[in-house]
Amino acid sequence: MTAQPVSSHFAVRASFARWADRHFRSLLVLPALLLLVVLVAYPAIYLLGLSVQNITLANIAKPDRQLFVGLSNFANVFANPNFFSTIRTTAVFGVASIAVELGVGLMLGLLFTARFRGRRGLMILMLIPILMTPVVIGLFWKLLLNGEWGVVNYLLSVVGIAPQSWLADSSLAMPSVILVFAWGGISFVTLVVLGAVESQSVDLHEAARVDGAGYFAILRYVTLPLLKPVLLVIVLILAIDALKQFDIIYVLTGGGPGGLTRVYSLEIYDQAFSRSNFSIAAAEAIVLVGLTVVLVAGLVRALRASVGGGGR
Amino acid sequence: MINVRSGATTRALALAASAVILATACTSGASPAPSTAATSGSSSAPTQASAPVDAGGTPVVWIFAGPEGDALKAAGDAYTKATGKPVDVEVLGRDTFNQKRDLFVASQATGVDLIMTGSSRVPSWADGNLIAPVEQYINADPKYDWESDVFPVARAESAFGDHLYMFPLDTYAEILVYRTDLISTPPKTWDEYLTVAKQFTKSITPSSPTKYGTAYSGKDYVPEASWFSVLWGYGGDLLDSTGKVVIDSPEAVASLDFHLGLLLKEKVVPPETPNWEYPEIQIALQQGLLAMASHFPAAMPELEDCAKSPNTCGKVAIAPLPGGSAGQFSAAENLGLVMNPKAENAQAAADFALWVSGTEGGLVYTKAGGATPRRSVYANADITAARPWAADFAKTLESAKGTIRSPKASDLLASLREELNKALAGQQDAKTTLDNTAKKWREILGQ
Repeated sequence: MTAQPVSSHFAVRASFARWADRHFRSLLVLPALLLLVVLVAYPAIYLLGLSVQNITLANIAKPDRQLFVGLSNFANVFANPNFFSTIRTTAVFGVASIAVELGVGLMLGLLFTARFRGRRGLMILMLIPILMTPVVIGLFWKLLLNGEWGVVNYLLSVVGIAPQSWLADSSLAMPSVILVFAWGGISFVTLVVLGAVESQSVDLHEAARVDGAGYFAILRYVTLPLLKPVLLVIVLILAIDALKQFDIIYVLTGGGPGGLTRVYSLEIYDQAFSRSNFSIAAAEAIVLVGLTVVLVAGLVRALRASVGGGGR
Repeated sequence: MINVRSGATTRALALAASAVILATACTSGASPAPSTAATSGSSSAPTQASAPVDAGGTPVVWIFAGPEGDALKAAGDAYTKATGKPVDVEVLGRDTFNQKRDLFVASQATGVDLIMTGSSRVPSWADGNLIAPVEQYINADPKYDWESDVFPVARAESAFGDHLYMFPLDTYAEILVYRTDLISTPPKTWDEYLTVAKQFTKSITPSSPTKYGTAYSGKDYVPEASWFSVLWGYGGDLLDSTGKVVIDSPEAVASLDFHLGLLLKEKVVPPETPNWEYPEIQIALQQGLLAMASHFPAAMPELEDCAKSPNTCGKVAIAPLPGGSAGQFSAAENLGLVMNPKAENAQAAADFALWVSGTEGGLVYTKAGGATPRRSVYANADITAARPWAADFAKTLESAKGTIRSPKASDLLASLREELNKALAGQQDAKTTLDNTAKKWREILGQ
């Protein structure tokens, strides 16, 4: 009479153990998955829903006016002359800032591979921009670049160069914004490049040196080819960062003068918070996500090809 | 068996830990947030008929940081001291206040009863049933002197349609700040203004003690307001009395041509004007770079403080902005408290709003650094002693004008700002700017 419940008890436990064994990993992932759904999937679905309705601040409390408009918001996005101008501005801003960040960051990263006096102190200084929030970077540089009392103009005046309206002059505003943004990203590139170079095999460098290669030959034929996948990852991160850039430009110029630094994120902000056209802003945001996905896919493809090439 | 049991125990513990982490994360995210109604089509819209309820608790008020926030906080303390009624004045960061405020209002949430806002938001919020009418509270308080004491512009800007939606708390309007050691009589017309500005611009008059004759804000929300004063003085307007777009009238074009000319042609304002707003003008005045400026009275205490502003203390005054053939006007921005239609402490909130925007509380608020739009406050001896320019500012408020009273005001002003920014950058002339703006406005308004 007692043997049967005991064997049943063990059978249940064994069955649970088998089930737990099979699903253990999935169950551990579940909390993170649920958080992801709550924090990412729900807002994304909400955004999609918003983009196919006509919701503004004026009608958000009036359900009868929240009409389903299909894809017409997307048609409006592409019909808006600001779309192409802000995309063009974003592209110029992105390409130029990535070029500066990558160029200067790469040079500094390679420089720091050498052992020299004061290296450690300089590296700590290099970390400062990473520790600053974008808004603080914007405010800091807005003060430095002020045409009347900024330090930059003062330093230029010392060497006899006339003061400039860095953030208000039509020809200087965009380069100024690019340089400020790049200043915030150079240290990141430097640190990643430094880490990547220092993790490269010493044997390869030694072998090249034994074969008679000088510094630049080693750089060209050993260091840089091995760095290529890392550089592509850096470009990927910088490109995403540049595409969604908002804070620094908003603080520095607000998109001015005359819309010359108005990147796409500022256009989305304007639709949502100046014009209260939430649905149009949602459609614009989805277009930005689409553009980012296309760009990332292209870069990932290039990265795979690069890694594959390196393997051969 | 032992291994299985031991492994199962470990797994069970790991799962329990994961569940706790998840539960903690969910709880910490959910509990402190105010309860929000759904913003989708299924939400029940507040209507003017659904009066806010009153739970008899402490009313919560949102305001942004700065002189207004400090003043309201001080007034809140004084109110509690005077009446024994508590009020929770929450001062939020100025930079992101508008976004937080707009999202809160749009979400139709509870948890905040009164919100400080600029009057330009009132038409769209009122039209969308996102704020509650407040005239029943004002009408029920016989001591609340509305008609004779509150400046006309503040009364007009607190209303939309047939209802009042705002307790007017703070009104600011652009005024002319000028250096009394340089300018004995402030210019009364825009032509005189240009003459004086040229006289004090070093590139035009090398002996000028100041680098620039004048300045106005060209960035963010001020560029259109700076021009409005010129526009109305020239006899132009934005919309006519029937709501028809008239922003492209010849008078409007002439006024914008003059306004842009100060920067692009005459060069009597700093070249950085397109990127300047209140803080930059204030610093330029403090540094002695300007002889005068289209500015705000809130700047005066600092400009008169010899420790902070040695170049301007004792030699700065205000006057109404110059006028044109049609008269003298200033664009006023009215700030006030609006009531959440879902306010949980509506009566207590209204009691506080009536007090702080009334004669007694208004005085406390103004003494603490605010600017209550009441004639009696500006005639008060304490105020005139502390602010010698108070009478001049009151005079400005008498003729001040509000802006667009349309639910589409935000969209209209954003379109205008976009075109004005191009004009200030020298990308297009006044006529093109206003033609483009008028075209966009007619599309928005369906004309």
